Amino acid sequence: MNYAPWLLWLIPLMAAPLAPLVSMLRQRAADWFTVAVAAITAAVGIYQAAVFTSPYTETVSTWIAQLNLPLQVDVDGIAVLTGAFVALVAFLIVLYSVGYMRHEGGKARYNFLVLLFIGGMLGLVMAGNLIQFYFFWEIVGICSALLIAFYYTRPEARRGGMKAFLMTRVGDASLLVSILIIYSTIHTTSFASIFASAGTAALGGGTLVVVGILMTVGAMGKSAQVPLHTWLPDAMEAPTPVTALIHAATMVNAGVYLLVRMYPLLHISSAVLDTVLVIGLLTALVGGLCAMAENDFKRIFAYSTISQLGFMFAAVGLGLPYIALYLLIGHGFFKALIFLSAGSVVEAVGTRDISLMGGLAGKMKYTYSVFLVSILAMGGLPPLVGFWSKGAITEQAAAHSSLVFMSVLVISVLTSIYGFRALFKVFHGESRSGLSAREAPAIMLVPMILLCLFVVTAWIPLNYQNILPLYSGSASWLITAAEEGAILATGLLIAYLAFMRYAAETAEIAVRGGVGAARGVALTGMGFDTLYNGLQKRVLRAGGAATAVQSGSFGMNMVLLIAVFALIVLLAGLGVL
Amino acid sequence: MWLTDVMMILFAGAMVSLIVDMGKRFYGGRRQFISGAVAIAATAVSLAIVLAEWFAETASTTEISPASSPFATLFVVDSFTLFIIVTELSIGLVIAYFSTVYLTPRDNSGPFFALLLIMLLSLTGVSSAGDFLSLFLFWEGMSISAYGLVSFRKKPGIALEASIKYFFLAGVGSLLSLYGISVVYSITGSLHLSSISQAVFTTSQSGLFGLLMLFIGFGVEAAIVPLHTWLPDIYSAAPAPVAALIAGDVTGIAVFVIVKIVQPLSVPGGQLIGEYFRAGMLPLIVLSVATMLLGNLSALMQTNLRRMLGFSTIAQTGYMLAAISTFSIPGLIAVVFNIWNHGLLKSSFFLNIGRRDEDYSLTELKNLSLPGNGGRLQSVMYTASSLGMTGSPPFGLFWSEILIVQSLLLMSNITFTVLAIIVVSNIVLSIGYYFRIINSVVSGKSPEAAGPQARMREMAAPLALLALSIATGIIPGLFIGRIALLGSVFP
Repeated sequence: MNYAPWLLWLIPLMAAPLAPLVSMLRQRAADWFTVAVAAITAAVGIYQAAVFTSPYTETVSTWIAQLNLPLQVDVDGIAVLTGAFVALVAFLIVLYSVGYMRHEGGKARYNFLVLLFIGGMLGLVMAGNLIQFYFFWEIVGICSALLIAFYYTRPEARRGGMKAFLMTRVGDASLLVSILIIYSTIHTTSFASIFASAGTAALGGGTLVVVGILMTVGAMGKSAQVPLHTWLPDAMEAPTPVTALIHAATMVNAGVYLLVRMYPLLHISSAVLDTVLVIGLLTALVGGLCAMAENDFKRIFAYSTISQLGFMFAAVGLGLPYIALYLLIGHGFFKALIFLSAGSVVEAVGTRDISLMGGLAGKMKYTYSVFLVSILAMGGLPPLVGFWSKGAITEQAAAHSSLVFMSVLVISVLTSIYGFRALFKVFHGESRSGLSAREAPAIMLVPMILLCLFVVTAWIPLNYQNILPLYSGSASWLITAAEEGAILATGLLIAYLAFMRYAAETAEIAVRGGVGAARGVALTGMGFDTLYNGLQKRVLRAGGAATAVQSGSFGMNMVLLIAVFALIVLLAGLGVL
Repeated sequence: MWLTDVMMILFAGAMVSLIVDMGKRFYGGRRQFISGAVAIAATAVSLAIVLAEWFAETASTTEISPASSPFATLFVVDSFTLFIIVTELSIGLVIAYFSTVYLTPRDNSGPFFALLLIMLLSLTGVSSAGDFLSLFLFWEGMSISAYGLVSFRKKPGIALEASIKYFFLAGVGSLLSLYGISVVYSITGSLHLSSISQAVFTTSQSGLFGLLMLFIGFGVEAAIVPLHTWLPDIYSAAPAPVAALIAGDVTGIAVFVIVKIVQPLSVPGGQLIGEYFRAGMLPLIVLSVATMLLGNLSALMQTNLRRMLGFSTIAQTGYMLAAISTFSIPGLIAVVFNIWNHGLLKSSFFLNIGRRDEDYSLTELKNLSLPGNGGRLQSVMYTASSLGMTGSPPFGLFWSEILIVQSLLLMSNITFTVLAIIVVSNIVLSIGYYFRIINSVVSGKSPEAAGPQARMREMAAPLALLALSIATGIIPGLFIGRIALLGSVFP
């Protein structure tokens, strides 16, 4: 028996309840206990990826015999690579949080939830069947909601947590139904059996389309796809390390991982793949536009995450599941770096409003450097980790249709523009409000620098270790590199002209051209928040009506009882029953 | 026979509690502990006997008859029954312990514990009844003990009013069920519960009429809409341990009685019961949708925790009714498992309220945030119970809700697929009010009227129930395995 696939998720899950106990002894010890657990988990993950040779499934016992449900792990390229990546990034974020959270209260709760969160995500990644997957999927959802609401005395944080839980639960409900349809049809949810049945009479035709669409909706909730995306910007109320965890290593990746994991089933139906493609492109566009409108440093990159996740969906829709996974990992590295850098800046200047920042490059040289690298990687600069996946998506989009190709180009340029806009506004020019700042402490800088190294070099093992049948490295990769470079340069030029060189003129044009109204729409998640608020009011109105018909009067209760009796007698008399 | 032993022990415990209470002048201040110790011992020994039977892993159905009689089979014990008895005694044991620290020396603790044990005895009888006569007898015993327990403190007025409302509604419900029993008897000439299938399948119209009368009659205590109105009042007015008992045991048993009635009609999963589909299932489907929707929508509007929990129980009854409407073994397994999971979490809520039940305003949502370390632990428990009630892992309700939805989808029928979607949507809807509880608990506003602070020995009771719920969520196979001895979850 191979222990690594089990230990990978069992270690953090079993250590989670110990963290509050350790913190009772000594607060600081609990922080380092969490770091040690995360480090061991990362070591197990990397070891597992290093020794991986061929896929296998391992079952230890029957979890629920009556449901034909074993406790099993599926060890394949997708799982080991994602597992190693999640564990590694999570470790770096936990290390960063020792410094970032040093003055915060509620650390016992924080350490417990973070370890549970990591364990849940790794359990999901290694799961060998869909019910087990769903169990951990829900654990991840709960932990994220509770961590988003970590500063629970702030109403915004509580609202953010609840919104995340509720909106992702809509997707979860859809996923659950899809799983149970499979279960009811073939009486197992093990991945191997599902893939073996895919396309057969038992799991084909209309059933497969319904299952595929429901599963996609499930993935949309966790991965914040339009229209279930509005929870993610509000999740910015969480402490920055949590934000980084959600955006880079855990929560939002779960939806994309689900699509990649279930691709052998989903790809049989072109209708499902087309749906995934359209949702992905729409989300990428909406996310990019909203990121352009934002002035909140963290929310810009929340929308950026939405946009990049849309890209991953589009990759799956284009028939490139491994490229989607490649982007997931690459995005995880550079987005974690972006959020950790943003956290350092916000902690240093005390505000998240980028319109009040400026000129920080000189004061925070290391932070600036790593932030620049991450923006370049996000823009797809060759050979950084972002390039390889984005290049493949652009190529495949061109082969698919001109509309899809144009959409991908526009979204790519948008990505560069909002990335450089943030860079210029925060780090370049003159300080707009005289905010003082100083470089982050070493405990925060070390993980940032390590992440930066991964952003620069991760493509080497990803491309050359034959874990996944990855980007084939087509003969035209130099042309692709030139294309991606041109897209990045276009975005850089536009951002420079609009937000550096002619910043005042741009602001004036925006005011005169009515851009303010459009910006307002973008800031409310393209109007979806308004839609949901309206829906909420209708539900509450229905609740009011339901309450109104229950007067609590004893007489009325008796009348109801007798009325039901009379109705049944009447129906029986009429022969209806 | 172990079942009669259990009943005798519970009955003897009740009598001893009363006798012990007569000597109160000798030990004054410690009377609730002494009566409580008797109740705890009686419940614990009973539970131990039942658990020994539980772990014996026998799949057989045992019948006990007083004599060879054309009328009756006194008790029938199968895996469903055994599981339900374990449920009620486990929750009952925790409530008995809690009551010893909840009651004060001024309370009439002897009668309280006697009523509690009579209630557990009646619940055991209802669960294991093999004929309508014994079912009705124990049912009435359960109702009478519930009236007494709800109005135990004789104040505030709201408790008396709720008790009277409950008395009348449940009384009318009993009459209707008696009418249903007489209809079934007139058709079959037998009072055996299994005769219901003969009544329904041989004479469709009058048999179904009798069946519906039974549903309505017993449905009053299961809080099926529109017969549910007593439940939020009882939850609001009853002392905390009594509310926990009603929430955890009584409502569950009422649903279980419907399961017992449906059990002889049930078929393996994935099959419809033929021509009786429209006439038999459709009314149940309509009632289940109305019950879950009205329960959830009303819960969204409540400002008081106890009323909110009442409406949430009504919604849970709706989910269980949906599974029952499949008339399938997987549906019934799901319901029995849900009774356990729901009972644990709902009882933990009420035990967590504890002595703050003395003032209705203290359970207003705005007053739920409690100061101090004890308050923090209570907040954690409220949060955990709320998350559990939303069907989140690692709590047991996660699995039972999955089983409910799965039993509906197994029918491979568009009506049941739509019903499954309605159930899932309602579970999502319930997040709205459970998060309101969490929001209120953590909002950080200390209540103006702090009320009595919970002590650690009080909080041990809801903690134990939460731990059981988590254990169920992590090792569900242990529990589902016991229930499903009768039939597979799959067809």
